Amino acid sequence: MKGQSLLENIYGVFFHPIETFRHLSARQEVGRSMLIFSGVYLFGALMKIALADPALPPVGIWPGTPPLNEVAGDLLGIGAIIGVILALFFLFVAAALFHLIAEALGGTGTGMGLLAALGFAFLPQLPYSIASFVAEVLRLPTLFNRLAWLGFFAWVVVLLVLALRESENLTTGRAVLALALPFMALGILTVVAAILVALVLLPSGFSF
Amino acid sequence: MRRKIFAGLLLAVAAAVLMAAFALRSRLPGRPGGGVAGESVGIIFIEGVITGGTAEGAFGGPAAGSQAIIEQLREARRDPNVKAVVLRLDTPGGSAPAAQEISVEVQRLRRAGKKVVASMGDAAASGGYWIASQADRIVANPATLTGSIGVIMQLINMQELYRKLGLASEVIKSGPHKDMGSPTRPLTGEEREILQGMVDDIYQQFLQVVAEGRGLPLEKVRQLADGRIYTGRQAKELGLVDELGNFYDAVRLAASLAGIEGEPNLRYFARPSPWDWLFRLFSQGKSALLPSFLPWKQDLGLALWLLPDLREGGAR
Repeated sequence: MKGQSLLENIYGVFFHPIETFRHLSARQEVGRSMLIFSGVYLFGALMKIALADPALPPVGIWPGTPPLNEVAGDLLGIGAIIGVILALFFLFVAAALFHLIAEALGGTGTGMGLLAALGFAFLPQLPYSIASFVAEVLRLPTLFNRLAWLGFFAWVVVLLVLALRESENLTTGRAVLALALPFMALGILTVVAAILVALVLLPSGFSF
Repeated sequence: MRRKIFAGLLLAVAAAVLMAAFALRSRLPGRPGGGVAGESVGIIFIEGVITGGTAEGAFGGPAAGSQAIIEQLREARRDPNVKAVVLRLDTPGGSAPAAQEISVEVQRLRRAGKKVVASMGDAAASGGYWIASQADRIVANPATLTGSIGVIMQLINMQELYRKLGLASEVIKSGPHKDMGSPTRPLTGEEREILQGMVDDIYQQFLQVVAEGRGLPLEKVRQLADGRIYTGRQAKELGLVDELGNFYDAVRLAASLAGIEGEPNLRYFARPSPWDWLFRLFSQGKSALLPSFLPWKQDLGLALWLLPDLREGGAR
């Protein structure tokens, strides 16, 4: 199999995602995957730092503390540094979890192969951030930003499904199921926990 | 080749957008910066019990140390870009001398040509009103608690408690009034008179300051100054407050008084707090630790001397 450069991988994710994910997982390009994933994460974090000020009020967490909008950059800076480590950890855990589910659904890929593909699936963050910034500069309506976010979200979901499908040799339906199962489990767990908490906390009679 | 060019272009555009976002951040919609470049409204917070010294409250808790605040006021006075200052007050009052120290610095700020607007939050009573009265304008919320113009001195006589505990105080003093106000015995009639005279004197000073600051006749201020608190709306009707509105109304008013057009730049004057110290430690490295550590260390002593300070009397 002919090797691809990093730039060709990036191009491929946008225009030939199926072949690219297949290639990345076959060659288990984990280093590139981590590099792209952390780079994309840092880019998003830095864009947030640049545009953070108006989102926070000019007051401290409590009296005597510096105004939030003044330390927003610092806070996000700390968040970005810690966030990269956490995000990479999250990528590892997600790859392990999805690989486990994929295996249970009949997948035949490897965990490292899936990890190599998953890191590239978040690349649409770049065009989304650029579009958001342009929208802000041009003062486009909020609707534009919402639609852009929806497009970005759908794009990432499609890429995640393709990454799962090509890395684990699953059918499209099973890849969708592998992606959705953790979220469905989380949803069910949340509902069960909410019911249990409500049962414990609800008073025996009505009270006002 | 085409693939590499596309990917390279995408990365280059992303880098350019990032740089542009940092470069244009102050010009983006919703950001301050509409005024003439450099002209700004300074914001100084006076929150918590007003006390002397540099204290800002133990572990970030509320306390307005007069030293810290007058340093901020002096910094605002020296900064040629600061055309107006909003004093954001959220205080029940506190030490009379501390309030006096701050209000003197507010007067100097005004004499230096800066406009000063007091913005009242939940409360700006007693010593808080003392300070607010020195501003060009006062803006309060309709439900703000203000007023409480008066002086109180509270002493506790714990003689009976000491007796029950089997404690006896031995006092050696240079004069008959050196232990005046001691918790080990009741006040004598003469001592009560002396202390009442002090309270009356500080009260007269308070009246004078309010009358001059607000441009009200002394007699009218005396009528209002029976120690009661007023809501912001009542205070406006009585002439103790100029306008009803929130913090941003006060900022707009300050900017308009100073002739700043458009949305003003805001400059916050705040001494480093433990949180600030922590944030800066992460973002700027260890060098940020040294200048910020000292005030925080002093905060630790606040709880020890705050109680006696209040017991000995204040504009509350």
